[in-house]
Amino acid sequence: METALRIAGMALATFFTRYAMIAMVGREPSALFRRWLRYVPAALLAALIAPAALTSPGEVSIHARWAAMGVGALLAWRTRQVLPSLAGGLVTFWVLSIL
Amino acid sequence: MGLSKQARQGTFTDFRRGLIATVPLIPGVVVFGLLYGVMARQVGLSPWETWAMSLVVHAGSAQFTALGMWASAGTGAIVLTTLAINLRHLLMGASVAPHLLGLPQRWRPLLALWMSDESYAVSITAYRQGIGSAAYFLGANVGIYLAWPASGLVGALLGTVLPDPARYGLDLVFPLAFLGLLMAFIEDRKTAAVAVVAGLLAIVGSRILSGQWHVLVAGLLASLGGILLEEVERMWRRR
Repeated sequence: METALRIAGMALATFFTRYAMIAMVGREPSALFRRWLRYVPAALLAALIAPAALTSPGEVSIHARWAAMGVGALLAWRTRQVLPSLAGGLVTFWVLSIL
Repeated sequence: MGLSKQARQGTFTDFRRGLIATVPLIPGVVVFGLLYGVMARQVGLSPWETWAMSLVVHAGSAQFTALGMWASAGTGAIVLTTLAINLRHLLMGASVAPHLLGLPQRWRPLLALWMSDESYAVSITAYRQGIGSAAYFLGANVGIYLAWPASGLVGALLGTVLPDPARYGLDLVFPLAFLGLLMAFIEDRKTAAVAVVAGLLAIVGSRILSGQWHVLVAGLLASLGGILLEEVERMWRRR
């Protein structure tokens, strides 16, 4: 019962955070809001990426992670696609962690 | 810009495209789903409770954090922590909301329900590239949702100790894939500067803040910084 209550509470809290802004923006946003929104995806994605790239969990070589993210960033910049940066980064990490 | 005039409901083809766009991310989702399932069993949840949590909460970092405090904290603390960790979704919601204006009202709760970091990233990139629609967004949501609860259940049923994903670089799947998506938003020096500042703030923030607060704080401050840059540029031109 306690477990069901906890899970239900977590589900409600999560839905609230996902729905609140989507529900509130009910009309054409103002010019200032639109100017701000232009920067939100870049800021959010960078904020999701950066800590994972620079912190090393456990005994994994931090240099292999940096190299993987560096190669990934280069490929992302040149191709602007997901698969090249994902594949290039992972292969770089595997090669360096085997060596 | 007239965002609402571009709001598209989309077709089944768009739904399929959104679903396919999440495929590169699925290995990362599955690895963490398995890990979540194993960890849930260790704190005493049954496989069905483990599965149910993923089905109705569907928020990886919040679920891991909840498991970490499962034995020591009360229900209120766990729910509040979940709320705090997911506050970053407010920013994501604000960012997609204008693309949904003019669509039938029922789309909004439906799309909000399964919006994850991953499906947001894929969908907002599609909107940026002009191929986005509600159906595409739904497809991306469903793609991640097909993988997360199922892999959690499998992990709970296996229950064995898994090797650390970081050893095989598997925790780099999301940051590497997000790099490819990020580039769609680097349009000029201002957006590039905003991304760099957000990254630096998030690194500093992740050291001093708990949970996922650093994503919200860095995302909010850096994006507001973009407006500041525009103002500085305007003043500079006026001189």
